[in-house]
Parts: sequence; C-alpha cells; structure tokens
Amino acid sequence: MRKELAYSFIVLYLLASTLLTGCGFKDVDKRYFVVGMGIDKTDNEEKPYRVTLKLGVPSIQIDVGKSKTQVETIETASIAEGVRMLKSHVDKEIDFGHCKVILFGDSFARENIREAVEWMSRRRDIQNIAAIAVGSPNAEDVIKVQPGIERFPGNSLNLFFSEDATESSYTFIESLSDLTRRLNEKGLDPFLPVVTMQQEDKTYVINQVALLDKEKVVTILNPDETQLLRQLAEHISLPKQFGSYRSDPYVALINSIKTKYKIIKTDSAIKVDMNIKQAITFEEIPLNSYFEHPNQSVEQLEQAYSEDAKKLLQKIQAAGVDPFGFGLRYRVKYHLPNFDQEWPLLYKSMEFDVKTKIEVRGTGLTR
Amino acid sequence: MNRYVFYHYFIVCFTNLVMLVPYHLINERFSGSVMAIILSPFIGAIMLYMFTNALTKFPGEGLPEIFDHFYPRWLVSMIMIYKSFITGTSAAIVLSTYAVIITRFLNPEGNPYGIVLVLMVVCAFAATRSTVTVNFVLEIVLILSFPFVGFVLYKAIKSPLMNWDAVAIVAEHYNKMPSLLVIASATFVFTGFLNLSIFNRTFPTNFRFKYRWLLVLIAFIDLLMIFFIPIGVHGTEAVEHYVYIWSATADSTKMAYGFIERVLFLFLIVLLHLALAFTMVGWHMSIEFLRYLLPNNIVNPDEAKTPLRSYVIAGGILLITFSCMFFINQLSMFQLGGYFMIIRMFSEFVIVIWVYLLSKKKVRRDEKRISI
Repeated sequence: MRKELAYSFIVLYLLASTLLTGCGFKDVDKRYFVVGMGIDKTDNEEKPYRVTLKLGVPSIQIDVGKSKTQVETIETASIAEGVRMLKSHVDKEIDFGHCKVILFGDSFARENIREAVEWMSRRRDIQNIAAIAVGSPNAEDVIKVQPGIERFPGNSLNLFFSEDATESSYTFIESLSDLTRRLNEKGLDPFLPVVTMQQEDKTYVINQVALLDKEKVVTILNPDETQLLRQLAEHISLPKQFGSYRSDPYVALINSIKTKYKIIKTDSAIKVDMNIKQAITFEEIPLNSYFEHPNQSVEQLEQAYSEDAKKLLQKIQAAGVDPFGFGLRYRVKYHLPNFDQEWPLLYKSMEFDVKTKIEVRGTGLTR
Repeated sequence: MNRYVFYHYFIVCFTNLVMLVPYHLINERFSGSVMAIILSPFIGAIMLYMFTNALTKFPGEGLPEIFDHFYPRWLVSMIMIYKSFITGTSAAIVLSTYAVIITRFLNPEGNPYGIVLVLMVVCAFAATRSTVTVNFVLEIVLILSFPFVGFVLYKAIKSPLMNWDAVAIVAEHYNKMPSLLVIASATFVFTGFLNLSIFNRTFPTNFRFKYRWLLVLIAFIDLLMIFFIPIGVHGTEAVEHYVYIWSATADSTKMAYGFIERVLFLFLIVLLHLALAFTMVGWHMSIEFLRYLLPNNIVNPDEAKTPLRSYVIAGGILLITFSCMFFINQLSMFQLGGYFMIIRMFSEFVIVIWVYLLSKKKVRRDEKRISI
C-alpha cells in the first residue's frame, strides 16, 4: 500500500511537470537573435528615437560570406515601445540574449544617452557584459554594413570587442555595467569607443575613443591620443596590448606599463603626481645607437613620453571630463560634501606632474 | 563530525550572497553598514561560543529535548511553534527570492507560481528525510558548490572593473552609527550555528567542537566580500540601482573560454543548489520542532522509515508558504524581510542566552545529584 502510494505520487509529480513545458520556451528556429542594435536621434520631435535591430537568421550553412541578416528600423517615442512595435514587423520572436554590441548614433550620443542606458540595464536579457560604442556617422549605417567575409551573422563586430580575436591597442572596450557605473559615479566619467566604417570594402574601423560627461559625448580623441590614453589607463584596459610609442628616430614597443598616481594638495593648488613605469623593446632604432649610448635614447624617450602624456591629460582636463577617476581618488583622501559643485573648479585648477621610467628589454634581433 | 558544523554554518553564510543581506547593507552603505560589519563578528562569535558551550552539556539532544527537561509541555510547545515559524520563514524568503530570480532570468514568460511550487515540493520531500540524511545531502551539495562560489568571487575580484578607490570611499564611513536593521542583516551571516539546535542530535556523546574561531573568521571574510565586491564593481552610486546586486555582479564578469560567456548562468545554478539546500535544512528543522507537539513522538535522528506525521507537517508548511506568496510582491518582500530580520535577531539572542542559562542550571543540578 505504502509503495503504491509512493509510486503514484512520483507519477503524479512527473505528470505535473509536463504542464510546465508549454509556458515559455520557443524553439531556436522560431527566434530571431538580435546581433546588433543601434539607437539614433531623429528630427521628429514626437518620435525622437530611431531603433535599428540587426537580426541574425538561423541557417544551416556556416561558411565565409554565407551569413544572412535582416535589418529592421523603426522611429519611436521610446525605445521599449519601439522594440515592442518591431515584434509586429517580423515573423519570429525577437531575442536579445545574444546581443553583444549596442551602438549609439553620433548625434544621439552628443545629446543624452542616460535614458537609453537605463533601459538597457533594466532589461534582463541584455547582458551586462555587452559592449557599447558610438557609431559614426550614425548607428543605422554602421549596423547595416554587411561585411562580405563574415561567417556568423553579426559576428565581425562582436570579434572587435572580444578578447579572443583581434587585439588592437587602439580599441577601448566599454561594457554596459561599466558604463552604468561611470554615468552615476561621482568623480569618474564614461568613455565609448567610436566605430566608423570603410564604405568601399564594407569593414569597420575602431581606433578612436569618445569621452563623455555625465550624459553626452564631449570630445573625441584622435587615434594617437586614443592609444596613449589606453597605455596610461592600463588598469581599465583589456586586452593587455599597449601598442607602441614613437619619438623620432625611435619606435618603442611597450611590453608592459604600470601607472601610479597620487593627488597632492598644497595650500595653493592640487597636483597629480603620476609615475609611469614601462618595459619596452625597440622596434625602430638606428643601428648600434643603443649599444653605444644606452642612456641617450632612453632619456629622449622618457622625456618625450612624459611631455605627451602631460599634454593629453591637460587636453582631457580642458574638456572637463575625468575618465581616469581623479575625482574618485580625491574623494578617498579629502571630504567633499558638495562634490558636484566643488569638483569642476578643483579639476580645472589641477596641475599634472608626469614622470616616466623606461626599462629596455632589448632591441630585437639586430643591434 | 566537526565538518557538519562547518556545513551548517556555511550554508547560511553563502546563501545570503543573494538574499536580503546585501540589499539592506548596500542601502545604508554611507550610514552605518561598515560599522555593523565590524561589530557583527563579535556578536556572532559570542553567540556561537555561548550556544556551542551550552550544547556540550546536552550531548545528542535537540532544542525540544533540552527545554523538555526543565519546563512544562505547553510552554515548550509554544516555544517550538515560534521557532518553527522563524526557521520556516527564513527558508520561505530564500526560496521565493530565488524563484523570482529564476523566472526573471531563465524563463520570463513562465508562471512563477508553477516554478516555485515545483521547487517547494522538492524541498519538502528532502526535508522529510531523517536528520542524518539531511546532513549527508547538505554535505554533497556544499562540496559540489564550494568551488563554483569561489570561482564567482574570484572572477569578480580579479575583474578589471574592480575599483579599489570606490571601496576605500565606502570604507571611510566606518564611524557612523548603524541602524538596527543593518546590524540584524549583518549578524544573519553568523547565525548558521543555530541549525545545531536540531542537528546536535546526530553528534555522539563525546563530541567536542573544534576550530570555532575559523567559522567566524571565514564568515567575516565572506561578509566583507558580499558587501565590498559589488561596490568595487558597480561604483559607490550605481550599486544601489540593482535589485539583485549579486546577479548583476556575476553578470558583469565574463568567461572568455567557458562554454557560456555569461558567468550569470553558472551563478544561477550554484544559487539553485544553495537555495534548495538551505530550504531543505530550514524546513527539516521546522518539521522536527513541530513534531514535538504531537503525542508519542519518538526522537530518532536516523529513522529508517519516515513517519506519516512528517509528511503531514511538511505538506502544511508547503501550503502555508505557497499561499503567502500570493500576497507578496518584490517590494513588500524586502520590507517584510527587513522586519523579519530584526525579529529574528532578538529571538535568537533570547534563545541562545536561555539555552546557556539552562546549561548552567543543568551543571548545578548534576553536581547536586553527585554530592547527594
């Protein structure tokens, strides 16, 4: 009797579980996976957002150039509504689970991105590790590019922002959770990589970085400055590829770099004392010059690097943004009750003192 | 046998990674949380030593038997009903929080009541097993999940997002007076030893507690990580934007060479283990407390056959918990959870001190008996 009771209970329990299968899961071939999303600004005041979704079409053939995507665009009053409306434009369920790149249009990013970022971090299926970038000239055009050599739908843009394919010293990676943090933190401002495209051969170029204040893009650095900023901000840089530094006639490959800074407050001003330690290998150097005068080349590089770094820091300071987190470091030491009012003035008057220490690993195969 | 003490201590400690504790602590991070975190290991250690010292005077006995030596049956019954209410509620909070998380991330269109019911039936079945079996299940679950808990914590600490300046800024606020709620939340991490009020039955007569300081130390490190890692990863301001802060923290790190890139899903599975084991232990204790009320109750931690009364009580707990879910939403869960934390803390103080005094009384009584 007891045994029968137990068996019937197990059977009933298993039967009950069949009731649950019908609730949520849709098969893969009934889904469109969003592989890229773009948000632009429109001129229409009632519908200020243009949302572009790149939908990956599940396909059996996986080969170079066989990836198929469908691009859907809609103008809408709010992003959430627009995505819901787009569901009525396609025949399959839209799924954001694989959306790893989200682009803001250039003009949109120059206005206000807060609302869009809040929408994304509220949605459960947009990953916190998704990469956010600025699409130039606008997000829709960049999203629409269909590179000819792509294997999986939308994969080539993904690979730019992953650590296991190309590792460029010009590419910043900004994740959604870091962007949310930087938009809200007092004394730490966000940055976004800028994606441009080459129209002729349909490929992407990512070698600039946009610096933002708490809501919009303030300035965009050129590729050389972008690389220098990545070297200086090594603690936030992934992957650990730092590129090179040129000061004629030398080109030095930076193997490793360590930046330390202290904020010193004297009665007249505050000063950032930055110490850079790097290990380099010479990539271009006149024959024999290092072996004959080792100090001369190193000294020139050290001096030039310090000057360039200082110039870059001053440029960022003039733009009034703080991607380094000097404000955060200042808050650790000194109490600022009205941070939002007091900090901009303090930051404007800040002085920089940069010292570089270079250790040479070698000169390559030739002397 | 000492390892079972560790398991019971850590199941409470690690389950709190996701539940109410980080929510309340982070809400008041600029006003008293740090002080509460510094104070709580001392409170926890004093309680731990008092309770375990008392238990050594009652070898192989659970809370119902201990009270039964000294007080009339009706009074002990009242205490047992109250104790089972407290343990049952904390288990229900953990399980329902987990059900909300799982519906949010894994199957948003699913029916949350269906999911929570299935989880509850599993837990209720496990809880009706004998005390020794529950111990073994707990051991297996914890040994399986420890490496993953460690991995998630390691990933979060080593993530390039980790900003120690933010941690330092919050740690500077150590001199603020903590509120009662924060103290209650922080001490919750150190209360795993209370599970021994039933599981002491499985320990032999000559059992001695060892390495008790290590329990408190590990729990303290765990509490520090629960609190400071999310602040380092999300910053001092954005950290309060998230409802389930540890899900968001696990989601901020990625495994480039894992089968899945989102650490979140690994985290959710570990969480499933911990939440189910926690609920199992909690409900098992509730069942054992309530069995005292029934006549002819035989206490046997290693019973071969589960008596019918266990099933009936488990069914009752399940029904009460399930019907409570209909009246609770995301917000009221956190508010009621806060009140519950405070009630729990005081009732635990009372129980621990009470049992401690009883143990002194027993020692005196035994001495008298010997001298006569």
